Amino acid sequence: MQTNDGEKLNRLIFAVAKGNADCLDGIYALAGGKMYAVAFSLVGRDYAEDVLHDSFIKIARFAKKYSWCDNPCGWLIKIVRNTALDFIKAKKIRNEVSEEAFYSLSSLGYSPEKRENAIMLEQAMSKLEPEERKILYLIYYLDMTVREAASELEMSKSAVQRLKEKAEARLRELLYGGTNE
Amino acid sequence: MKDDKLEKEFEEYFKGVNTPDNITGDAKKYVRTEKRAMPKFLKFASVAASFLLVFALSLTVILKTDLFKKTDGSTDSGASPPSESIFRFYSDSELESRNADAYSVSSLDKSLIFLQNLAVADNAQVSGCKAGYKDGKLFLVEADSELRYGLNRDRTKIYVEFTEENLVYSELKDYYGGSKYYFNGAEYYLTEQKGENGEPEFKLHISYNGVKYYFFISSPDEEAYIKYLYLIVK
Repeated sequence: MQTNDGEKLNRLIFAVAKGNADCLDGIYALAGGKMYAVAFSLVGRDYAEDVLHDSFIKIARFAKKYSWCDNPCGWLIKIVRNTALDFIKAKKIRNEVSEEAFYSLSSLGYSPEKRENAIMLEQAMSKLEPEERKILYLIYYLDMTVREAASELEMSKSAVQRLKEKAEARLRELLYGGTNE
Repeated sequence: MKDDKLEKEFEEYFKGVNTPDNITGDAKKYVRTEKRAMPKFLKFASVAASFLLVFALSLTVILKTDLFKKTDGSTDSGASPPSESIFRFYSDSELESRNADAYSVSSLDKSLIFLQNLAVADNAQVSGCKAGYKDGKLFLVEADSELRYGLNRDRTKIYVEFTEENLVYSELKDYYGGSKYYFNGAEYYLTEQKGENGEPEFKLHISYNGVKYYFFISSPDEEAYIKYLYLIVK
């Protein structure tokens, strides 16, 4: 999340805590895409909307306990993720979402002006090795730190750091032809 | 650390998704219901405040007539900050400051084991740990800690003072100004206020086994200070 959006999100969450219900729409406008993407990747198309709905109720409940931070989107994503995991347990649905869900948002319906770039990113992601896709998913989708990703993957932090750097280099190469310019 | 350019690429990617409608409706209803519930609470609070005012006024009268003797009750609100006549103060300039290693800080005094435990805990970070000495004697240890639990985060400034009871670091004078309570028989002072972001802040002071502990806690948790009492009072 870019700094400007981050500050806006912080302010919106605080406004919700103070009782301004309409600010939930602002949060949805700024971070809804990513939240939906995360829900979609965890529970699939059929349940993603329900998870998103329940996540916003949790945001409304927990906003009073929120403290200003550098990564408000990470806080929102953590709520979506926990809600999705609760959903998987409660509904006894099996997490059969394939890795393609990590990079197939354009199939959900997509704004035409962003479609071309989205398809480029999805094509580039599809050319990565599964473990490279997985690490980018944990870091860029779920906003995990290297330490959290290491715990999730049951790998050492240094191994995860190396894998992350390799995956980023590969993705940059695929997107920008080997440069980062 | 994320790659800036890739992060921007992903953010644009997420922003293009057509998100479903009517997601926030029930959450908005929840927030509005919570807001409407406030006046009822405020009504109760105002009645309670009136009783407290009457109680405080009565107490003042009793205190003035010298009939009141302090006992080991559960609370004793409205304690005053220490006055020059009771307390002696020392300042920063009188101390020789040395950096201390939070991971082994209990080697300075065993009462600092709680700080060392915080430093090694997975969900906490301790920084800026310093020890202040006067004439070679340990007077004061200070440190900053950040503790994460669930969705909460405490930011706490910690001071531990090893001076005699009435000799106090001048910056800590305010810690004696809060309401007095007892926790497992130990007396402590607590001041509650709201920070700039509306988050609760606490100034907590407790003396235990001849050592004085001070905590300035900033946390979304309205009972955050309790865990610090547990850290000190065994």
